[in-house]
Amino acid sequence: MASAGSGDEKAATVTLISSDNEHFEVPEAVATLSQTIRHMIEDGCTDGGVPLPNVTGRILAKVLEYCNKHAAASDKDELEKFDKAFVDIDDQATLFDLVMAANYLDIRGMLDLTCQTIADMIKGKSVEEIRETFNIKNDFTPEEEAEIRRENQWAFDD
Amino acid sequence: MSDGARKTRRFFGASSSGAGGSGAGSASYRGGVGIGAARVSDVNTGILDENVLALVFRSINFDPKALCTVARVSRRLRAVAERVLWRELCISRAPRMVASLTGVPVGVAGAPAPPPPGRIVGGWPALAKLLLFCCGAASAAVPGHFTGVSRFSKTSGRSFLSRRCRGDLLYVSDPCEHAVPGAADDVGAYRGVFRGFMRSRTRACLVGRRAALETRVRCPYCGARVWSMVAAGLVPRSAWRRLGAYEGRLEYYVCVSGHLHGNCWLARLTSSDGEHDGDSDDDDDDDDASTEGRSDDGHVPS
Repeated sequence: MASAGSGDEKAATVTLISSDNEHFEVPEAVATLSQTIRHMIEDGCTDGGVPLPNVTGRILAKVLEYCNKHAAASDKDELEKFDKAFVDIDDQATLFDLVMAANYLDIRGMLDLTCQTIADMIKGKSVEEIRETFNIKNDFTPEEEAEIRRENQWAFDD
Repeated sequence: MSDGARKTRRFFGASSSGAGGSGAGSASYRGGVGIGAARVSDVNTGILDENVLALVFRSINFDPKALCTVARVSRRLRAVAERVLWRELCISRAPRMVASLTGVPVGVAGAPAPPPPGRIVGGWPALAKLLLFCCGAASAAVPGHFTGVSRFSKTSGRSFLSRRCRGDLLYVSDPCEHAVPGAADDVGAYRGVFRGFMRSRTRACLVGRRAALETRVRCPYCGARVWSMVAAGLVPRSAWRRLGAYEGRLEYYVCVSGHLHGNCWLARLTSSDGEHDGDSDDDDDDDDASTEGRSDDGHVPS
């Protein structure tokens, strides 16, 4: 069962343990935005905390930021504003980490949000734009590049 | 575990902003293990991580245009597209057909998903193109075009197999009709794919007859060499009857990977004729595979 909070008024909480051994005490109502954690709570195996060996504390903190907000607020506009700011991250790497975390923790809303954000950087963009956005080196020879371009033209021949 | 070593954070209520965390390491620290940790030994992180790519592309339903673009960006992205993304596109558009071609069963809701098929002869990019692209008819100067929606049928495929090869499993699409300027009739272009072509009766017949590979035609899907089934004498009359083509006026090629492509001149129908005179069009649902996407209007998003 979840470890009880110290006050008699507080709702049940659960302790999440990141891969680098940071502990996060979180209300169940927030933690259960993650289906993965929800199932663990339901299965009654959260005594002593839930280890999440796949997620660092840094990312888990960000995930919980999302869960906190979405568990509490219900105003659509407010959530939309939050979501927009949430993914407005300079550090691209964090965005990718959030995709993986959302998938691992099974948080549908966060997965959709983060995937959408990255997809918007890809869909409708040119090859060069994609390289620039993600800082990817073109490692094809000019001949290879021309060949691969020909090979992949078909989806554009409407 | 000693209390001193533990750093516990409390998240109660929406008022906790959480920005930057409370006493956490600096934002740029990425040591340790798990999601969020630096992976010095693995250069395929971030957008080059195939798990991330698979998730992102799933969210846009493996959009073919985006996939074709991404495959051109770098060697790594091309490799991931070839091994994972094109495969997932094929599975999403035609799950039963892919399951049939690879022998890997379709997932059942509620049960754990079976591992996805690894390879397919001719490669996943070729199969994806075959599902979504009509190759037109070079001989009638009909250019190829992106179709997005096609129906593939085993029953149609059967009609393309000569009697002794009827044990083979072949999917063929409905003909895609094209008006040809200056010609009274339309050209129908069709394409298809064999299951297990290397072990098929059709291939055995072609090899047995020492059928020559064509010198001037290639598979529009995988680029491999092709046999002309007309030249090999392996086109049954049921094929042109099924298509509604003029007798004898069809061409039909099979490549060494088992991809089929061809075209025919379509006989003009009288108002009283059905599309398939003779052959009844009563395909089992199981035989058909449609490449319609999951969107409501039944069209693959372009």
